[in-house]
Amino acid sequence: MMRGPSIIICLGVATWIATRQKAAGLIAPLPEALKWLTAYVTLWMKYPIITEMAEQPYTVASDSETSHDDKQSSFPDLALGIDIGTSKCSVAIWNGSHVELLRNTRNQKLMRSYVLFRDEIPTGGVSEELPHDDQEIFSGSAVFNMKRLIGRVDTDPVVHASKSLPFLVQTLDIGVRPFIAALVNNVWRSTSPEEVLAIFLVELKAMAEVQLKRPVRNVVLTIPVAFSRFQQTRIERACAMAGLQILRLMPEPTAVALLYAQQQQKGIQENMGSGCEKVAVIFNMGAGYCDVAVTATAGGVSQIKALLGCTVGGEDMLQNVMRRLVPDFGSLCSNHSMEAIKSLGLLRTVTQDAIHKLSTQSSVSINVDMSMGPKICCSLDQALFEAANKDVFQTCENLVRQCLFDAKVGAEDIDDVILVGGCTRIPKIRSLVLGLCKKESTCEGINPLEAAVCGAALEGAVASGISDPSGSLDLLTILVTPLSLGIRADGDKFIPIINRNTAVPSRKDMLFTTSHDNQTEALIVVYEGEGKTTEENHFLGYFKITGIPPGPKGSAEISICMDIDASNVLRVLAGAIFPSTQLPASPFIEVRMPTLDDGHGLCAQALTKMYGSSLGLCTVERKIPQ
Amino acid sequence: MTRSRCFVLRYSSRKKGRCLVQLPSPQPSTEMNGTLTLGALPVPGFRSAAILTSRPRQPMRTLAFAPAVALPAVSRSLYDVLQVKETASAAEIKSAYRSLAKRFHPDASAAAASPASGEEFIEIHRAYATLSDPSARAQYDLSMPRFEFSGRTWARTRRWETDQCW
Repeated sequence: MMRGPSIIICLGVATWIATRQKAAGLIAPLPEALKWLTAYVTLWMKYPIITEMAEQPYTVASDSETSHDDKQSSFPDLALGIDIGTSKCSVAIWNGSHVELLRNTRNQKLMRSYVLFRDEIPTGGVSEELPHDDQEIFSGSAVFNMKRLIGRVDTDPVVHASKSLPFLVQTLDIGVRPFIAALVNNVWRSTSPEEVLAIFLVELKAMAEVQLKRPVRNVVLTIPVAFSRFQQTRIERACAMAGLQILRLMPEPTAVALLYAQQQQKGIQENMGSGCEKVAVIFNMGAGYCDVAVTATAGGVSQIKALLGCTVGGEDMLQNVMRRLVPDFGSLCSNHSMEAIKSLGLLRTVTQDAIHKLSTQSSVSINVDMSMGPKICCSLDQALFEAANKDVFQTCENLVRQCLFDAKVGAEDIDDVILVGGCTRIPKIRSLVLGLCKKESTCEGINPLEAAVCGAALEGAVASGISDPSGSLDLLTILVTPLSLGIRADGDKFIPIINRNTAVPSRKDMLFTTSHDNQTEALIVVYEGEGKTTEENHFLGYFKITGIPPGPKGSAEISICMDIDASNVLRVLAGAIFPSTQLPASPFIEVRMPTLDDGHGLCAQALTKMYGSSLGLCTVERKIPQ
Repeated sequence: MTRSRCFVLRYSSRKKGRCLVQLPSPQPSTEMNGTLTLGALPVPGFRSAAILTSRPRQPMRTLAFAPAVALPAVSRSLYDVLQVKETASAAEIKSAYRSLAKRFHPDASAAAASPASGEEFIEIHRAYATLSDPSARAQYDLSMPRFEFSGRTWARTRRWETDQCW
């Protein structure tokens, strides 16, 4: 009875998504919208219970003893915590007394993240009775590793590394979004990482709605530290497409820090121990990213001292080993024939399996007969694995060292080492991190695969305004900026205004001046990152300020203020001021960043080509106040 | 129908955003790191303390931009911001910062009922950044406008000029 109207609403929403995408410059032809529609309708047919539930008004549970289910309905807007991993996803929620991970129909807590485009309706396999096997997922019909691809341009090395994946990743190397396609009935059908992520999130959402027996809208997502603000907007878009509203985007190690803070708090309550400060190093390495954080925790407040991340993960190690096994790996990847895909898929399965086994065994024998390429029969041992991934381990080591340095923490100050993520099962990684922190063992009581999602669920409860009588939600993470934010000045230099590891919310301003005589306009080009020059950093946006009082170069004063507000939104406020009175020469311009849509690599080139340094800015020597 | 709520698309900010960022401060060059270099501190006096304590704002500007919270007066010291005594130990300063953060940080559960704009936290963090760093705190203490305080404070404190004679 209720299904009719909901389908009509669906139709409306699907068409709206299509127009919205079009308006945003995203090519979304009508068939795309239809695909969405069918996906939604199928979900409706699959889960009629959701629509029926919607009819029931929410009942506010009485404050007396309530059963488990009643507790959930007593906070209808309680946010879900979702950890979208490069390889696996998980969903968790605060159930009134502790965090509970949701399981799919196959009773799995960790669900493999991919979307299979086999039939008309793409599926993420979250609620399928039978799991898709490696052969299907590596057949070219499934798109995975979307977290590594989302929001990246085709000049990005991570996108280039993704070309060895079974689905199609095509690059033109001009700074636009890469072309990504899945093989459907022997035709490469285009898609985008956002779309794939959205389809997967729709399935996760449906799964959660069935289990919680209520609509789900608010979520807290964890993201890698290395994500730029532009990539965050892509995640936001994917969530919007899936009908989810993001309450917070938490860097993964900070979610773990929140969980750690809660455990510390609990320990103090139980043992009546001292509430002294504990310093923990959190090392998180998954399939796609590696993050490090140093946190100082006391009284349920986790103060992040330093955050650092990079795009190195298990996927890189897998590729390095595959390269060792097959000499002409590159040519095998570039050849996208059915046979090559099949061989590559087989190789990927076998190698992945061998690496997993190597965490507990000293050596693994690999026997694989690929239809294309050589027959491989060898044994992989720790030494060979470590030699193949020397660079990866070196990167991890540098990351930990730099993070400890940034946090001004020595090995003797560290109380706990927390290792999370699938890759921390690798013996070499464990010994490396523990060695750098001079510790014998890792922190107990934290599940390496579930810590991030549990932290996200805790944050979801805190952000939804839930308070717990026992005080186990009396938590706070004081976040810091993972990357420096600044503008282009002094030619092509990147001048940070808000430095890395600044507590947010934050506001900083800086004075700049003109680079030419009688310059009345200036281009404010905003970047994010750690590189000395702008090319090494993430481009976020640009705008032009006008009305600078004419004069010899270096005489004008241009004030640029960067502000990260309570919702982690970055705004840039700029304008010229009269040096004598400090009053604005003309109205200031305030721009919310990032302003860019896709194809931002091209955009930076166009700006340089069009304006060169004619609208440039220069830094001002610090003046000593009288 | 309630169901349709789930498909509302939101591209806008997650919380209600603040309307406007305030204008840049008149001394932005000193504000960049929150602390001053030695050269900037030749005379311990009212003016340099004012620069350090908080961003001085001209009345007409604060009026024009109507910030969300009452901005601290120039006379409010960093110790006042953190609500600690001037003799507070590093541990006391840290725990004061934490408890204030729990009340004023926009992400804190206590703040969820009445969303904080973040202005208070920025102020608290700025105070903490100076006072938690021993050398920055020492410099700040030197620049404190002692003559503004009561006789009790005056009697207890040694000034650097007198230190030279001892």
